[in-house]
Parts: sequence; structure tokens; C-alpha cells
Amino acid sequence: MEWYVVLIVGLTLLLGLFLSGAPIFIAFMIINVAGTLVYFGPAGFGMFANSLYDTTTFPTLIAVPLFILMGEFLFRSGAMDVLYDSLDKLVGRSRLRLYYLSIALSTMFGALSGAAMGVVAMLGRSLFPGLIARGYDRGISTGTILAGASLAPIIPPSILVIIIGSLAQVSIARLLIAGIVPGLILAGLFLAYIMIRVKLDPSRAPAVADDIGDVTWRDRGIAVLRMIPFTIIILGVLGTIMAGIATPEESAGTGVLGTLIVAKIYGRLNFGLIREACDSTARITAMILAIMMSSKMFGQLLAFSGSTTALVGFIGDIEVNRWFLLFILMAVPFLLCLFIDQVALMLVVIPIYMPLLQPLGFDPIWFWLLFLINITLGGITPPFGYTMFAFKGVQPTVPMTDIYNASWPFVFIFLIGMLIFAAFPGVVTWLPNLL
Amino acid sequence: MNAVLRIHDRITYVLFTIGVILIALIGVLYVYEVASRYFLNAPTDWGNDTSSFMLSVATFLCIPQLVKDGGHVAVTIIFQYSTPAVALWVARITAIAGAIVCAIAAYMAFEEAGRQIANDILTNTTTAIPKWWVTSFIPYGLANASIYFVRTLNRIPQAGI
Repeated sequence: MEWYVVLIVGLTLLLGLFLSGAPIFIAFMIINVAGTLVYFGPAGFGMFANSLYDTTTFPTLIAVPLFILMGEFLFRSGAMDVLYDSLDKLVGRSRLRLYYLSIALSTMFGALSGAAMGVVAMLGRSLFPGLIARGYDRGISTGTILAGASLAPIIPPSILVIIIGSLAQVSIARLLIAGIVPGLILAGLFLAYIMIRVKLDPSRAPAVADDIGDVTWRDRGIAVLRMIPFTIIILGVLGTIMAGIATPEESAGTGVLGTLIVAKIYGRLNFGLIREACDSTARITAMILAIMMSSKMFGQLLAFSGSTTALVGFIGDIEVNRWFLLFILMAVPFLLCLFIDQVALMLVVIPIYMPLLQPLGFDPIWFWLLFLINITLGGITPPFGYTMFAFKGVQPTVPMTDIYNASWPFVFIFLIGMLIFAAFPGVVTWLPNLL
Repeated sequence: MNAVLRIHDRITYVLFTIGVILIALIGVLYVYEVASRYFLNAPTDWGNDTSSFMLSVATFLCIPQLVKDGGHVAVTIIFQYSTPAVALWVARITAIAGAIVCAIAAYMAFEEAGRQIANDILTNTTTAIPKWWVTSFIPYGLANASIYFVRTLNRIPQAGI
């Protein structure tokens, strides 16, 4: 069967199964089982089972349950309410304060932990209910958490950068540094979007008068003191990574310990809370990993069919204007990343793209950073983005269609950012060029 | 029949609870790993591998309970925009499809676990253990999920879809 037929039939079937209302992991699993039986027969049973085993034992994924556990403890202990109340006292005059907080926390935790899904699950569980309770717009609140956490692979430290750098044979240090400015610009664009959106439609954020009265300097001092325990969590996660004490996965473990200490300080730690938090974490983790393992298998089947390689090779052979070719070179991984694991995609695409860069005169650091942003975007692009499913897992009452609608504006902001970085390569390259 | 179903639910819940405990233990293990490396200068050579194994086992122990409770994520547009009769049939068909595909997948994983036992295959990790110790939970999770998809068929009309 021709590669494009496999690709079109596979994706159409998958989309149809999604729309049928079947659980996402079942939609993938139907195609996986059928594909394995058709391509391999009984000889493929080993590949099938080992693919599920490999995904669920993948070390990086251990951060996912731990970040969810942090979010559960923060949410159930009421610790986030202390944070909200303190922020109300300190910056209560800004209507957008909790949107700022959402972007700042998701960007900060995402960037330093590198676990976008885990951070989305944590903030979706801990931060999101508070935003809604205080009258913030559900769509924007969802979008800020998804988008901020999606900066995880762009701002260092980033495992994806190390993989790209190794495969593409470019300086990993320069590629890591190159992500800082674009990551911060994207975070700035998110903020600008929210400001414009609320300016155009003030109902998207609560009025200041609704939730803040007269605040004295004494109140502000108390607010600062009440926030101090949160530094334990910051130190537990971010401090241990930056000090080189813990890996990102281990820092998630120390972060869990930090949240338990914070809950204890606020006098809300008890066995019931721990039991409920662990129960909920196990459910969300199993749900996310079920999707991950089945979607990875789907990507492997596509790769085995030769469709992925053939598509990328086909694009590489097209002779058109270099800027149009850049667009195509970016469009292909963008589309493939909607349903194929990022690492698997990189293993296929990077070796094929590498020889194209020099004839086209593209700066490798600039090109691979655009590529990195591009594949990162797959996580929040409907309908297949992983991080959206993680959010749905922790907020089951939010319809999937609402999560899709919340994602789209931020997907477009990412694309605008990519246009800026493509048009002005200096934005990406000036910082690494200082090295 | 109801007694059998209750026992089935009970067994599933007990195994789910073991999965919950394993998830909690992953957190404990990582804190222990950091503490033992930096404060006791005695890093473990089994911590990371054990955590990975526990994550895999916990996932497959928990999946059936999620199917029972309807905890898996789905795109539910069709239920919002179709008539109740159509939605009912779609729900039934997807439940049957889920049951069949999980049963086949469980069989495939069961065959592979058997092959691993027969060939004494070990995990490719620092701390090598027989691979079937971990992979044998895959057929359990998928087979039990299949049973719950079948049992879902009885509940769909009551769910008011």
C-alpha cells in the first residue's frame, strides 16, 4: 500500500474514532491492534507488548505522577487559597493578577522541570479551581496553564534540546541558550494577548471592587509572611534542580515532600487528605499513561509502515523557494507531532532534514530552535495534543471541546512567535552568539 | 450473579489500591534517593529502575478501575449534539469495540509474557529482574478493562446518555 494511503487512512480512522466518543486510548488501541495483526500477525505480539512496557517504564514519565501529587496536595490542603488571598492583598488592584500568576507559575515550573504534562496536571488541579472561583474566564485560564507549561522544552533545561543537539550535531549549549529569549518572548505574547482580550471584553476578568477592600500595609506584611511557606516548594523543585542536587524527576519527589510540609504548616495535613490525593493521582496517571502508551505505539506503526519517512523524504525532494520550503519543513513536523511522539518524530525527521540546511543557507541553531518550538506546539494543538488530555484528566467536568477552544488562541500565538523568530533570526541567535 | 460482580469489583478495587500505594511509594523512593545520595553519600543503584517498574505496574493495576468509573478521557461531542437514541447506540458500539480490542491486546500481552517466562528474559536495566514480573500486569489490566467494557453495556441506558 502506498505511504500516503496508509497515512490518510490511519489518520482519518483515528479522527473518526475520537469523534465516536470512545476513550482516547481505545481509539489508538483499535488501530494499534488492527495494525499489528495486519502488518505482523502473531510475530508482532512481542513488539506490541514491549511497546506498552517501554512507554510505561520510560524514566522521564515518572515526573508526571509526582507533579500531579503536588497539585493534589496543594488543592486539597487549601494551600492555594492562602496564595490567592495573599496576592489579592499585594497586587489586588490588577484585575489580571491571577492570569499573570498562572503564566508565571506554569512557565517557571514547566521550564525548570521540563515536564509540561505534569505541570499542566498540577496547576490544572491546584490553580485552575481558584481562578474559576474568583470569576476568571474559564477559556483563558485553561489556555494560560496549557501554554505556559508548553514552554517547558523551549526554556532550558530541556531534554528535547539535548536530543535534537545530539542528533543534529549542533552545539547543545548554544541551542539551550537560544531558547531563553524566544521562550520569554512567547510568555510576553501570552500576557499581551490576555491584556488585549480583557480590554476588549472586560467580563473575562473579575472587577477589582468585587474581591478586594481597603488593604493596609499591615495586611500586606501579613500576606507576605503567609506566602513564605511556599518557598519550601519552590526550593524543593526549582532549588534542587538549579543547585544540581536532583534531576527533574527527583525534584518532583522533593516537591511532593515540600507540599506536604506546606500543608502541615497550614494545619491541613491529615491521613484522609493524603489518601484522597494519592487515589486521585493514581487515576489521573493511569489515564495519561494509557493514552501515552497507545499513541506511542501508533507512531511506531506509522514509522514501520514507512509513511513517516516517505512523507519527510518527499518534502525534502521538493524544489521551491527556500522560504516556502522552510514553511513546508516546519508544517510537516507540526502535523506529524499532533499524533506521533516527539522523540520518535525527531529520530525520523532530523537525519533527513540535516543535509538540507547547508544548501538552503539556514543557520542550524536558528532552524533547530524553530523546529523545537514547532514540535512543542503539538502538545497543545487540537485534537491530539497530550497536555490537553492531562488537563482534561484533572478537570473532568470541563468539556474537551472547551479545552480545544481554549488552546487555539495560544496555538496561534505560538505560530505568530515562530513567524517573528523566522523573520528576525537575530532574536534567536544573538544570545548563543555571545558564547 | 450480583455476588460475583461484587467480588469482581472488590478484587479490582484492591488491586487498584495497590496501584495507588505504588504511586505514593515512587514519591517516597525519590526523596529517599536524593537524601541517601546527598546526605548519606550512599546512592542506590536500584531506585530509578524500581520507580519505573512501579509506574508501569501501577498503570495497569489502575486502568480497569478507571474503565469501571468512566475515568478515561474521551471527546464527547457526539453525545452533546446527537439524539439520545443515536448517542445510546454509539456508546454501546464503542463499549463493545473497547471490550474486543482490550481482550485481543490482553491476549497479545499474555503471549509475550509467556514467551518471556519461557526464555528467562531479563529487563535491560541496571537492576535486572525477570521482565515478566512487570509485563504480566499488562494482560491483567487490559483483560479486566475488557470485562468492564462489557459490564458497561448494562449501565449505559441508566447513565441517561
